[in-house]
Amino acid sequence: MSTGPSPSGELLALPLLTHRGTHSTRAREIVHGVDGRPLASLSLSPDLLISQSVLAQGRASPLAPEERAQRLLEASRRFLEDDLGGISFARHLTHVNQVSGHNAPLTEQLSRAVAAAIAEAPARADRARPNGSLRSWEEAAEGGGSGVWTRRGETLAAVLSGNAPTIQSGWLQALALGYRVAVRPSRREPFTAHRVVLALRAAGFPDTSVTCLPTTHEGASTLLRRADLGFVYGGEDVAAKYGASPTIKVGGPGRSKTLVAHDRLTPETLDSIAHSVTALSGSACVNTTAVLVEGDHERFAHDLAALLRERAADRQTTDHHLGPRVPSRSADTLIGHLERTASHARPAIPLEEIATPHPDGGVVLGPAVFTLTDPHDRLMATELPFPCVWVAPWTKADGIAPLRDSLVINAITRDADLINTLLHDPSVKNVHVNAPTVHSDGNLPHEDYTGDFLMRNKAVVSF
Amino acid sequence: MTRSILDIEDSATATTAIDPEEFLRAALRWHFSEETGSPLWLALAKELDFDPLTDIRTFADLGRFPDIAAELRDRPVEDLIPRGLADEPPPSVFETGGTTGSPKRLLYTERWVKRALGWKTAELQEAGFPVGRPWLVAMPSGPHAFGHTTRLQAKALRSVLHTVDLDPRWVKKLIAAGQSPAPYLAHLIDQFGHIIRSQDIAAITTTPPIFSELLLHEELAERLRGSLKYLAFAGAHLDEDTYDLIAQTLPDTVIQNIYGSTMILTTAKPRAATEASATVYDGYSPFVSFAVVDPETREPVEFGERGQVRMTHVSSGMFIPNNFERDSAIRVPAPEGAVGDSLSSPAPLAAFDGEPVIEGVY
Repeated sequence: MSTGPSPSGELLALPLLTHRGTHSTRAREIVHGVDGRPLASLSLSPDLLISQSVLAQGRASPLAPEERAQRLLEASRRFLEDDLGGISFARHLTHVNQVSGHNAPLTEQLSRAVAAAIAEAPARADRARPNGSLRSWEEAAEGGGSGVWTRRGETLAAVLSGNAPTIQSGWLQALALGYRVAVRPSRREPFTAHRVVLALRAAGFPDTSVTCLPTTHEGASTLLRRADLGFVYGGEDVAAKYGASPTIKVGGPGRSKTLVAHDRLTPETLDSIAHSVTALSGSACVNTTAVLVEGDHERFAHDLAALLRERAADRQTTDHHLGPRVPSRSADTLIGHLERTASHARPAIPLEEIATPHPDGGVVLGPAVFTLTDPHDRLMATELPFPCVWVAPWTKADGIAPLRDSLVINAITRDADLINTLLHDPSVKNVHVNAPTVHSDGNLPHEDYTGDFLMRNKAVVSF
Repeated sequence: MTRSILDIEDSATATTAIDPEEFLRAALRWHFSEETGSPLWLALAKELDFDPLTDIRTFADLGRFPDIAAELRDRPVEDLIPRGLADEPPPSVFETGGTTGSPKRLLYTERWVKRALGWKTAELQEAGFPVGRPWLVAMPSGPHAFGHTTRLQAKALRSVLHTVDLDPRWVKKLIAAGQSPAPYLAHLIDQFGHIIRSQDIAAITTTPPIFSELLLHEELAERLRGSLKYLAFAGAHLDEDTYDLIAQTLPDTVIQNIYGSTMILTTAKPRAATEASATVYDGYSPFVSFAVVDPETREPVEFGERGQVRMTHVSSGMFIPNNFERDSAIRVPAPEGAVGDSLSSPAPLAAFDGEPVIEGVY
């Protein structure tokens, strides 16, 4: 049994979890920790096996709905309690911690949130079901007829990113709805997806219900082409490549922002924004990356910088570091990018303070606060994978243009008209009213409810 | 007495080896003499900073010649025909795939076609080709040599030939334009289906992506499991994992990986008794030889190391002394007495001459 790199240097092997068991390939990729040490040897699926898996999954029947719910509950428990692939939950947390860059408590919190996402997948999915739709045709036929909530397809490809373990929650809802799912995990953090699929199989989901197929970029395209529907997560490039497809749902860039009205410049507001900047290591799409201040934005940035520095103080070299721990080469690239693109922004925290070498290897990034003079500055849309926030002045005359193209807007204001305008702007995906952009309990829509994309409504009438 | 290249070629049989140095000297005399050389080489000779007849002694020296790819793209083919062959039947003109820019034209003389056919039919028989039984070839014909040479081979092996035509250039255009090759693949598989359902196909030659697609059709895969004795892959890179999957699906089928280039006017010789996914490819010394070199320095890499593939064709019909392929391979010692290197694990170079290489289904 292999449980990670042993003294002899043997690597943890992560085989493919295909439609007919496990399969190791000759094509491998080494998964490295942020400290640069090799951690695992990841099998990469060839196109043919991807196609074979997805087609076999499409031919297989799903478990009955009640059985799915019951096995998801069991899988959630096994995810936390079982040795899966020879790995305990504690050991799993170490692996995720070593590659994801989240600090130890956050890694555990997010991994436990994955267990919740497994258990609650049926209930979360069901929140998208319209009032006019029932779950089964039998129910509809008994009454006077009704819409019935039905799948748009049978197979789903989930091409994941590695920012947070909780990225699993979307495809878990698809599984709860009866889709057969092929997961292509992030090659940086493949551990969570692998463990979730092992837990589901241990709980009795057949191999054809869910597969875990790490593969290259090209392989990911094949996977998306073979499956009926797809989820894909990434930045601008991914959105450009897949955004036009009606069968692919893109989890694109976040560019989440907070707006503070002049009468709400309070310590509570400051605290809430600091939380929105730094939660989830500041690397999630829901992190606030731009703040629009109605009033003295320089003063606000100064206070925010002071608060964030205080929160980061004495932590950055511990396992409670604020901001992600990244390989030093990535840190250099990001800082270099900042220096080149943000030369006209004024740093409220000196640049030399935002990268701290960590004793366990790698570099902890953030917090960073910059002020801009123009709310329309293109830097306001710059989203970096660590706590980094742009602060600009805003007046009613600027309107909502600086708030457009955002996953989440937290509007800290009493201005009902403004909230209405934001709510009806098609480029704003979610509106929080004085609630941190990072707030979610798993039940709120993220980019719509997942079920809106996965399901349709069919009339069933019987006399 | 000094033998001409035609004499030496005529003397070559399966059992009598040719002395490479004598052959090279004769070839240089042939291609660089006013009476026998091609207008192309006679013109190029004037621009060389060395004398081919006195300064080129060994096959390694052929690296001093320029890459003539551009000439093969743009010159009228009449310029390529050696004057010494003026009285022979006109050669066939075939083109390269056009993977890296516009296609290059190559001349296949009658004597070359016959020679290569002899090699290939013997190798196919040795590999376990089901002689006399139906063969399905889905490879490019038209301007491409593959479809034509396989037709001759089928005749020589007394097998009925069934074909599905392939237009690799169209597929590459589709992919380059960001479009999906899926509809074209489906169109090919439809044609495969018609043949496989109605004929008892015992041998198939096609590309790995097309065969992979075929295997996804359970009914066709099932029929092939019962009838297929020989399967050859050509035209595109086959990774080891895909090979393993196919070999598991077809345990009773001999699988060969063919590796070649229109630029050497044939395919390499798969060394017998090497596993298909680790095939060692030999040249046909001294006609066709390989070198594996560092793409930057153009010096040979060490044995066991990967480098860029350089190919050389020397015959009375064509002289391609120094052609760099879009491929890399691992350098393996050539058989005793043969010139150049042998190759294993050929794979596409990521990019060549700045143009991205598009493999597509070919």
